[in-house]
Amino acid sequence: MRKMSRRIVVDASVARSAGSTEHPASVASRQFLQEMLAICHRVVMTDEIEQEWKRHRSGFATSWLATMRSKGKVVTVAPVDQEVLLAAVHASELEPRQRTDVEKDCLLVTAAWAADNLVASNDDKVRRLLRQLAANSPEVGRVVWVNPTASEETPVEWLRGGARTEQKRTLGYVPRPRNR
Amino acid sequence: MTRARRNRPGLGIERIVVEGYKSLRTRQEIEIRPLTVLAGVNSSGKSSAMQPLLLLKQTLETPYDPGPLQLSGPNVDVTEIEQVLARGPKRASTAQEFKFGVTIRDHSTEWTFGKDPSGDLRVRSMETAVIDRPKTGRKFRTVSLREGMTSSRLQDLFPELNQILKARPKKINLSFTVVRRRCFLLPGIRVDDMPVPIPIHTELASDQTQRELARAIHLPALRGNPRRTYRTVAVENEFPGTFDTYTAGVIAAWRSREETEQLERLRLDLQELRLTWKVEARKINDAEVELLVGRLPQPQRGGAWDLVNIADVGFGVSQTLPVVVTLLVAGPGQLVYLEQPEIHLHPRAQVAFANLLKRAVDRGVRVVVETHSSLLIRALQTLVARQELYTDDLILHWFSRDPRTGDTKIDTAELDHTGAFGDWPEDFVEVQLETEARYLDAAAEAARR
Repeated sequence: MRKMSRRIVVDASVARSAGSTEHPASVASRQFLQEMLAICHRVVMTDEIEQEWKRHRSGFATSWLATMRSKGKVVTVAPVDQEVLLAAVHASELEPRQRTDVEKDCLLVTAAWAADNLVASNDDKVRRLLRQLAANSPEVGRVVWVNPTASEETPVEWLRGGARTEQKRTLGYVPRPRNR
Repeated sequence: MTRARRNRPGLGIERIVVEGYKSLRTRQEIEIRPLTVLAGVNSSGKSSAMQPLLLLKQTLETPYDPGPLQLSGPNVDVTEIEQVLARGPKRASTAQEFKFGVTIRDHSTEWTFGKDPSGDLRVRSMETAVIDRPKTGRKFRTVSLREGMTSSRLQDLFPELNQILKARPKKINLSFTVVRRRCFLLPGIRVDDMPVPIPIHTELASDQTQRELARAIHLPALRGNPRRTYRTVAVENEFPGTFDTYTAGVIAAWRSREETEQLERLRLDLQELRLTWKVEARKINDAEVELLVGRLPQPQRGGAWDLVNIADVGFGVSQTLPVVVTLLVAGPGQLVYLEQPEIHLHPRAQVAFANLLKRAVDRGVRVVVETHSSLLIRALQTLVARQELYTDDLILHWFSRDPRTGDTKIDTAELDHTGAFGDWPEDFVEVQLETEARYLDAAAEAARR
């Protein structure tokens, strides 16, 4: 089967973690980035995300990004207008502090919309908030959000398997209640 | 925006072809650009790809006729052609000949070397272009010459020979034959019973090939221990053998000719590499010069004469000085082959070295660099991304070997305007990343304990 090359937004939280010695998150973050380098997936960058990366960059993440760029595996996109996302935030019942958190990470979602709707981020707090928005926003709901440090999500296997848009990995996924 | 220099008229060697030579069993065409980078794992065939060119260079430079190839010389040292022929797992799979080709201004000359049944090394064939209108150079045809060709076959290949035949006095018997001059085959004329045939002047592409091979400069990876004194040399634009032996003599010649611009450029280049701020060649007698360098990397007030013999400073200076001088002394179109110029250089100097290469390329020198330095490659990528180096002035060849057959495989890449080389299988940085990851993983584990 031909391997798919997917365009994945990688949050600066992964870059920061990859350069640290925090156990076991840093190990998992490094493994995720190295796997992306080894297989055909590409990383999505916007000007804002690149600025975030520069703020949080470690020696490891800098080398990784330079190598990805050398191999032509960095895709620069113009993010989709964040209006839809801000409207969803506005219509939600999130608390002001939560709204600020989501707005801060808008850049990941709008970049994902401009690419293949795939985000890798270590930030579970924002993921929980986005899941709340997804209930009323199908655009948010279709984004796949993978946490490279959550071993139960088998992030490396997901990459190796083609980084497919699996329903259960999307922000809009609602598990069915178990029958008793 | 792509900073490409399309349609620039070619100068010097543009392509080489190697087949049947050591691990380069199958035909490999290697494009030579103003800056050509050869990289890859150890024993992958990088040096082997350039060795046939060096064999021809040393054959042309030998003061006597060494036969078709001078096998043992300063650039390449073998004693039997079998040592360089491609080998396979079985005796029967060993190549019986090797081919080498050179393209200059779209005209190619290609040789086949092998042994004849009596065991003598021969030029089995030489294919080259005949330029029919040498003034314009526009019309040419390819001919293949072999020793022992018949006179009539040569007359077919070179119709101008018929005019010689017609113009001859009738009592003289003439025939045509192929004459070998070292590694070159030429049409020749045999008069009556004269034992030695005379080559006939024809406009062959191989003439220019000969000139370019003879003026190619070779600087090997092993550049010798620094010495207290060096021999003086007369500096022209050809440097037989390896260049390291000329370094001191070239600097001394620049000084005696008061070529201050070259001396200043040399000083600035060495300073850019943070090696030294001054280099002097002092004549000891008519045969010897000594090299003196600044004791400190940067000039100090009142330290104009704070110089020491090159043998008394670190290897960085003595091993890099020949590299810097080579790049400055080479002229437009001249091929300079540098083997691992980064040896003994601090990482910061390896990065700065890319600027020296760029300046040589800007002067028209054609540099072939064999390197293991990821930093040098990254610095070249940066120059391209900054539009300081033309994208089509640079080409990268990655050498690897088929794990089953041992045959060399060459992957070639050009850089795009961002300095990216795409799918080129360079693995230096991956190794670096793996090493960093291993260390960080181990440190994380240690911190947890």
